[in-house]
Amino acid sequence: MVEPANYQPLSGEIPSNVNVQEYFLQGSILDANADKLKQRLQGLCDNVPPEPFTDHEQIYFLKNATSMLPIIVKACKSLAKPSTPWQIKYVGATEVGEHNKPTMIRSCVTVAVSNDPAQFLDNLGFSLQSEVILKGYFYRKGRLQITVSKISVPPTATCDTSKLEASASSHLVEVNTTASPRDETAGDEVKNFCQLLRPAIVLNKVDHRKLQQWQ
Amino acid sequence: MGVTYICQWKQPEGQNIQQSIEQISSCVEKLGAKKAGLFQVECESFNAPNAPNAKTLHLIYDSEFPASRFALFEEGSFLVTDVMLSAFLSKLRAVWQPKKGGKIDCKGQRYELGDFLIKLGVVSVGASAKGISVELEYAPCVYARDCWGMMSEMLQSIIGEQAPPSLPSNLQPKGTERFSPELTMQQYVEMFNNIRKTVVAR
Amino acid sequence: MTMQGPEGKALEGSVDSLITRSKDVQKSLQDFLHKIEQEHATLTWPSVLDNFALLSGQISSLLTAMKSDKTPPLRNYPVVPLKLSQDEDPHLLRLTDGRVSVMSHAEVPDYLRTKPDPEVELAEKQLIAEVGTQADQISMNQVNQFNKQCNKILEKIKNARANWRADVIQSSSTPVTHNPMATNELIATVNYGRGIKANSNQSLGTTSVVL
Repeated sequence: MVEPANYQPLSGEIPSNVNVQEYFLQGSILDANADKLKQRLQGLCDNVPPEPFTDHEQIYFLKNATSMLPIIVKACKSLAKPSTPWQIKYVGATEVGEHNKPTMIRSCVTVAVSNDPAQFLDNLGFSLQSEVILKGYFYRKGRLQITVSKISVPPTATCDTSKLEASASSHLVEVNTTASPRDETAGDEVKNFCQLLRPAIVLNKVDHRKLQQWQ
Repeated sequence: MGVTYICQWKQPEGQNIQQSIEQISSCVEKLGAKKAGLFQVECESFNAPNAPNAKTLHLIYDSEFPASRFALFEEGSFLVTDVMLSAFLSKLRAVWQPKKGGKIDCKGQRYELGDFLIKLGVVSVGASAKGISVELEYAPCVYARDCWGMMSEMLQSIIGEQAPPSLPSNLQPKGTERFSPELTMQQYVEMFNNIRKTVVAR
Repeated sequence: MTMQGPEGKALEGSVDSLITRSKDVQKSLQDFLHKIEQEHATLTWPSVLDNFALLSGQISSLLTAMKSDKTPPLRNYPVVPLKLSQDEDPHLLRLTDGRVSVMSHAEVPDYLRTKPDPEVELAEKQLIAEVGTQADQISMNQVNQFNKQCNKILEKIKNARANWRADVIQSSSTPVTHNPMATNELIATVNYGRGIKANSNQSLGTTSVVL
């Protein structure tokens, strides 16, 4: 039996490359064209059925005395599979890199936790900024992970609809892989895969610095 | 895992740690316990120097649970995570730093005696040994109140009059609830803190 | 020689540069001749071509010097022999490196020539007349026709370009599949929580899903 795509075994050994980086590209596609994209992905990716997922993601910020940008940690809980443990993920600052770098890069550390980490994060000094529900499909190809998802607002949060007009009719698409910083080929793999998805969707580097200022 | 009780064994006067460990080990072996490998419990403490109300955070690794790490805040919350926790905390090093002299560990021998698991360990800060710890686990039961009688008897035969006469207060809240690793870790942290205080007092 | 000051200087200067350049040409010719005589067995076509190229360059620099603005019009200064004799002139011999020994009535027309031979001149004139009697009308017509054709082609190209632009605006062949605004919004929301504010006292891990 093939493992489900997002199965992350609790690792018994600390992996040798603790300094893991995520190489990724993001884009969006109108709802009307999402099906075509899914068909194409099904053809391109590994021969397992696409994994539907519904994740409740919470974003926590920790104000940092030494830098302007807060430390960001995401807590993620699967609503589709309640038995999967919570995951907290530290995401570093996104580096767009120079023009010759194929993808955006950010460092990330994912920790699986037993129960709701809210109090733990609260004791660490984090404050809950926002939460979002992502529902969609999860594809994989080798070590690449592709998600096509729609965002919605959980009932416990308030939403500013004026800022979310355009995204209401689009799916978010992200292609990423995790590798050590010394791995040169990971970014190229992501980029080559994204070329195969054109012209249905064009995945590019997005300048996160501008987006961060639109809080 | 079953109900676990941990305490520090005050060694008799005039003996150093090595002799005390040998003494208590032979006592346990006389009871019929068989050696069953080694164990190790490590605890690293962190604090946030710039945050005024921040509690101390303890990160615990227990060889009995090799795929997990435990995060315990002093008078705060408790969390079980996988092995990436230390990497995660290192990313927060701008705010949370390891405490100086905060690393303390307990290493020793495991013994199995029927359903009981006895661990005798030497607690050390850095390279210097500071005390002896005794851990007793009764595997089949998960409710502390139900098995306290048996555990108390076993403790008496190992550590004599140092054994507590009745269910200790820190195990009591969980008397009717399932025992969890949280209590085990809390007991370890308490013991480590006590040992640290005695080290400082000297 | 009596000459006006600045003009005299200019003339001297230009004559000097002409002399330098002709000496260069002379040297390359000598080298080339020597090469052909001595090394004709091992001579390769490319090296011969090199020599020709060198000569050509030097001649063209000579001509440039002559045409240059700094050179006063040389045709205003004819060289006129003052004394002709049939005897060997050692001074002349020395000046010309042993090539011209006598300046007599026979050599003067060749060396100091300013116009071609009369027969050659006549033939040249005839040729020019032949070519020039092409009716002006015919050539003008031909030029006009060529201009018209060029203009027509230009028009065609301009029209084609305008039409192509209009077509593109009306119906683009690739349908729009994404909204860049949506991309930015989605990424900002998912990564930084833009647009969604969490209520601080909510219970977490809610099980209801809003779609």
